[in-house]
Amino acid sequence: MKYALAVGALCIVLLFTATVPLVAHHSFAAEYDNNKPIKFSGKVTKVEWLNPHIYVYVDATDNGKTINYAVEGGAPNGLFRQGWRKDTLKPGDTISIEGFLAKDGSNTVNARTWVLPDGKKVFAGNNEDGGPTARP
Amino acid sequence: MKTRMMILAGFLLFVPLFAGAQDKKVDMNGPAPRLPNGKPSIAGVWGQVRRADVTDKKIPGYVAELPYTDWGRKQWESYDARKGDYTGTCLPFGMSRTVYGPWPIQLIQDNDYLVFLAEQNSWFHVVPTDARNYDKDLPPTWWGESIGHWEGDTLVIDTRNINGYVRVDTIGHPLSDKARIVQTFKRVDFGHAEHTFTVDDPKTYTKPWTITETWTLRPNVRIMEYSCEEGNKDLYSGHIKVWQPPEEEK
Repeated sequence: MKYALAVGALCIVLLFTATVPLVAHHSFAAEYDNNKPIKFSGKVTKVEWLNPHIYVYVDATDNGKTINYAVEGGAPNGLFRQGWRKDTLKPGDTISIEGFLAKDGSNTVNARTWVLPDGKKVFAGNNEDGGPTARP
Repeated sequence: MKTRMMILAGFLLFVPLFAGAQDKKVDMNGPAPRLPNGKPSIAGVWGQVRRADVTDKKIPGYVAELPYTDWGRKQWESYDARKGDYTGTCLPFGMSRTVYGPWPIQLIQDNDYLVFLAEQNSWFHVVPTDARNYDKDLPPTWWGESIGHWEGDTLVIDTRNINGYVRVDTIGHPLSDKARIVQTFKRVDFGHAEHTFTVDDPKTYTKPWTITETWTLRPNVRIMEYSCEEGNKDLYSGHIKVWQPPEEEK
């Protein structure tokens, strides 16, 4: 029994700690501002699993006002290869995001770090797009 | 029984993590496969070396300093992705930005052709490997026209007639319509290929520059569909601008 639980736990840990070499189809600088870092937590309202980037919409409260952020992540192919699936994040899940706001003043965010519902912190942004904390 | 069920449940949870891989066992250091004509085949799915910036010193093989011409430096210093980078509009990345892009490439090869199947936007590029003449009637294109020839066991691919809009890498180092890209491929064993990438572009750079690197076979990766247009919200929402050909001289 303990062994079985350990196997299951290992699977979950692998799922959410897998390094995610995510990528972008265009440069970070084309849309986002590295002088506008943002960090928030909230509930997922919608997930769009589409190329070239997934979008996760998150309701976050700031000074009593609820803002629905459109959070851009990596491309589905890269996410899939690292173990993510379309339903890894679901509406109602609570997540935390660290990223950067768009230059145009909208509530669009380029995520660099996601803290998932189980508390695991993963890099799931648009890696290798030339943006902050992008890995080589 | 309950314990066995739990083990099974754990296994089933584990399986989807790697559902995209067939977990094929290969000897990465075994001999290179051969084409029917005896030349080494470079067919396979490759994890090429990702270079978002070819001058990035963290990645072995980087270019220490790009030897700009005045025109080339002007192109580099005036480049602003916010004004409409072509990749944001899902236009072809071209040879350079594809081989230095993040997504795997599958190479299909026979005696006469090498075909690039790029996962990036699901593009393909066909390269005759019979040293034929270039077609002077072809218009310039994003990928250009590539012709291959053999030098011993090394396949040389020479790409010309590029449209002058493609960039070398993600951060936008320039290439002109006078650029010529010469690549060599030599499969040294089953799992590895030596790749050189030379840019000879006298309009942009005062002398040719070369990257030398090793590609690693990814036998458990399959190329997936990548439809850049299906959800390109950045573009549709106006967050990034639609690329337009520059009006000034290329």
